Amino acid sequence: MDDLDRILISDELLGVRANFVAAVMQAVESAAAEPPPLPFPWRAFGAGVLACLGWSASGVWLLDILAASTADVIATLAAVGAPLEYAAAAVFGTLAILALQRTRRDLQVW
Amino acid sequence: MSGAELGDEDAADVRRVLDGDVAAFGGIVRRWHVRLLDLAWRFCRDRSMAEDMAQEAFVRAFRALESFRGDAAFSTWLTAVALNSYRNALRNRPPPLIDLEGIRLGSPEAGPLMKLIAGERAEAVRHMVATLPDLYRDPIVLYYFKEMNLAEAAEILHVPEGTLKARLHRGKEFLKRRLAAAGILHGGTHGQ
Repeated sequence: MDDLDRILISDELLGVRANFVAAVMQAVESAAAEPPPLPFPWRAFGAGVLACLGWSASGVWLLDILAASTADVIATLAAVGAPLEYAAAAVFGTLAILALQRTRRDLQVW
Repeated sequence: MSGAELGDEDAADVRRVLDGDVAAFGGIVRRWHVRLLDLAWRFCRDRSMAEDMAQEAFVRAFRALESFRGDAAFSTWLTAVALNSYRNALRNRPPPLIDLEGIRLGSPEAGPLMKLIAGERAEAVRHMVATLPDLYRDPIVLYYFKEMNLAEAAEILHVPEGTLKARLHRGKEFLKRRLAAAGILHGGTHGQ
């Protein structure tokens, strides 16, 4: 045992305040009188987790359906695209001819 | 009073407290308050703070009493609870101040007051321990608090004895370097 050992082992607090035990017991009784801490709401937490999982699953499912239906719509439009263009051109052409005829008639009236 | 009798009294009081008799905790406080105060004092070197820390440790022990299963001695369990409580209390506080005035080695005025100076120097050494990093402070404080009982100190710190031994050795070397740097003790303390 060296000097350092002797110094460190001989350390002690001299005397204890007379009412220390009473003060501690008062603090302990206050702690005992406190309402117990609220337990963790495991049921609500579990329900929340399940709801989140449900929402996530339904979201994935809806995205799949939407992606599939969007792809179908695009494919259908792509398939009928050319005839539609011809039809649209024919409609516009007819309308243009009708408009010209009306304009000529109006000019003749004047 | 033997350790076994103390243990029996503690076990009986624990059972009574767990059965709802809060006043039975008074027996535990009366038996252990000096030890817990002494330990708190070694950590903070401030009487008032030591009392606050020891009081808080008892309250924590009361709240955690259900977790005492009797695997270890009650004193070991209580000291471990107190140690955790003290660590928390000291976490955000500055380390205690050390007054080095007149206690440095070789002070010219030290001659006639050698005994007093030696006492003050010893106190400065203890203060220096309280300022060490937790990794070294806790093993040193606990080892000497437990009258150099390595096994019990290791059990309280939840570390193997070999680890505690290594930390003690490194901690003491660290402490000696600091003390030498502060001029409190010579570089090597053997044979002083």
